[in-house]
Amino acid sequence: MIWSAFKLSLVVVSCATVVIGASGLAFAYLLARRDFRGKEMLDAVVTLPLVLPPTVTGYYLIVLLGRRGLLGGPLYDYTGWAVTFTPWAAVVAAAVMALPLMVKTSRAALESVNPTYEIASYTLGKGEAETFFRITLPLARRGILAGLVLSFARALGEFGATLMLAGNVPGRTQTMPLAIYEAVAAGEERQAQILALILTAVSVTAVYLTNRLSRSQVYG
Amino acid sequence: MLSVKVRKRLGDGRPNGAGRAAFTLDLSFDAPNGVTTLLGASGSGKTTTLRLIAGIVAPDEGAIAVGGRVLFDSAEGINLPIRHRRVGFVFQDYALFPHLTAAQNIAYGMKAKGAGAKLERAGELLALFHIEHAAHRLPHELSGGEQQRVALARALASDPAIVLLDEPLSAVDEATRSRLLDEIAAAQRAANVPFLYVTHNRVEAERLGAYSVTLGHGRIIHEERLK
Amino acid sequence: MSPRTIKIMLALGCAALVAAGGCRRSANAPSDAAPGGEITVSAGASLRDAFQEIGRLYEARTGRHVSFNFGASGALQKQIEAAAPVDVFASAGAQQMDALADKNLIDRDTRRDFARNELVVVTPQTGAPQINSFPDLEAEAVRRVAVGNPRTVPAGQYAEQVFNNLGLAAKLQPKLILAEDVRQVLDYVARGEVDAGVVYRTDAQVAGSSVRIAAVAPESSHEPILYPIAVVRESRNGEAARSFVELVAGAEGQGVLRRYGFRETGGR
Repeated sequence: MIWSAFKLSLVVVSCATVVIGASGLAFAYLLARRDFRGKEMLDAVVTLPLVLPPTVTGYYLIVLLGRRGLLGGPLYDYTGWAVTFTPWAAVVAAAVMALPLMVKTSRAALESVNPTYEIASYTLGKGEAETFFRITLPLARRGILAGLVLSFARALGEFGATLMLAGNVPGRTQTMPLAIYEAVAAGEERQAQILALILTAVSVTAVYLTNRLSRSQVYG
Repeated sequence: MLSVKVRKRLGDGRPNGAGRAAFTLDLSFDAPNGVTTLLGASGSGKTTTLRLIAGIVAPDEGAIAVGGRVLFDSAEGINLPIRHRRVGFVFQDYALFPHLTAAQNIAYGMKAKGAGAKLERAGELLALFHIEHAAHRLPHELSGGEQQRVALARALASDPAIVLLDEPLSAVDEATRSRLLDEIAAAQRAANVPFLYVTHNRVEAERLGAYSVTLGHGRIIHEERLK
Repeated sequence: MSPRTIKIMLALGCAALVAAGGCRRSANAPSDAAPGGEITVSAGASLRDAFQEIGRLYEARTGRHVSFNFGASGALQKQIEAAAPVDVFASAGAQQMDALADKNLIDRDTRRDFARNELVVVTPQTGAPQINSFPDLEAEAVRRVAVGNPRTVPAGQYAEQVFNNLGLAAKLQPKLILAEDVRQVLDYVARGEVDAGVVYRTDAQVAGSSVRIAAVAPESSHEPILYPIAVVRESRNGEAARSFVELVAGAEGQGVLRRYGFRETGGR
């Protein structure tokens, strides 16, 4: 039980971190460097999972993606497949809950890059995308890495929304936090202890790394 | 070679005003090839003029053309993005990319294909400015004078149609300044494109400029052909 | 920050903690026994509606206040083992009561079974596959079946017994979605997230029209689902606690339970 939960957690969280990394960076860039109508709205929506109780977020996810959900309903009718109770649901729940952390941290990191560097790149003939990858990203990379590590840790510990959207299906969606919950409820102290130890060790390492990375990058 | 006719309202909380009292930039001048100096006290609109030409900021109305090529024309609805303007810019704080070496900075804007060709050309420019030794150093390891040369080399390496310099010598000491002025003049002759050089220092202007425009409170208060 | 500011902040912080502590106690864990013979009753989640009504009867009859603490029987058992101030324990299964009895935490003389439940299959009100009996769950059209987690939820353990005794376990295993309590099973079914669920009849009844009762498990396919009730040994209001148990076991209490779908114990 421990081993399968551990493996599942690792796979789910790795997938979620990839999703978070790409989308989080995109949102962070939009919020840091672009002005548009509804910008504050976007910021609020992206921050929401950080502030709402996880079960509320889970509720909205199930209303959206469930077999009779706004998006999940048509999907199920056409393909007979729904995301609920599959490992993908665990990935979605983890990604949604950890995204705000990535966006906030990355946005701050991107905003800390002097815009003059980006303008210099434009005067040298480069477009926005090339400037982002060759100048902005490298200069912001420590903060962005910190964001990724933090998101990874948050995704690893995700419970409430996962329980609602993915359910507790051993081997398929029973990640470590769900396994701990079940172990405690079933009176299996040793299992609970081992799982808790693993999660704590990973979280402490993540916090340590985040702090080290967050010390601003100094050139000279 | 450079034709500028622009109007822009600045100040009172607008994006480019930054807390200054509101005033309007309203200028029209034509500069020949060679070094044109833009003189004026702080806040007279010199840097803003450079930013308008580079495309960092757009005028409210007007037209800007370099070598006959239109960069901006409010009547025609033309507003080229920065990267298409072929404007070399030497910023006041140089804005050298901190994570790239001097050679990499210079090679950044080159259009030549292939890393080899680029680094070779970068080497040539470094030699031109007598800073070959700086090739593999990071910007923070260079002196102010060296950084300024790298910044100018970088701008020239991108094969610009015009080079804009924003008070490039303000952070450099007296002694080095004189030498750098000569190098800038020489660089312009070699590149054979117009240089627009912003400064508040009359002496610099007189040493450099073939043509000098003085700004006061957003308007041209004096124009002079010097040589 | 001046020392005075720090002192003020500390004082405010302490005050906040005290206030929060006071609030917390009435929310989650059972509150301390209050004067006036007030009692606290811990009961399995499936007893919620019936017991709340019995509680109102109790208050009307005796003038004493009763606080309820509903939850998973396993969690309630743990609370009592941790010396939570509970007066009466009503469990949704003998296992938890037996565990407390072994640890001498309940007053054995007061222990009795007061209700029996049945296990049913529920399906969504609309769009559900055709199910008339437990074996029908094996059909291909039934892709997901929600049950309580047998490790932690008594209803799930009974469901497991039924599946084993009817020879359905092998085919149903891959379809099972485990829930942490019966209400969640009902939610999954009502929402159409699963094709069927196994819950107590009483829970299905409470869920009303959002689910349909499709089949009832034969009595022989599982151990009797008997609900035991007992006075907790450490109770500070033994007399009041005993009178509550009497009310539950007596005619009035039984009448209430019947209306919520519970059956007679038929013995003990």
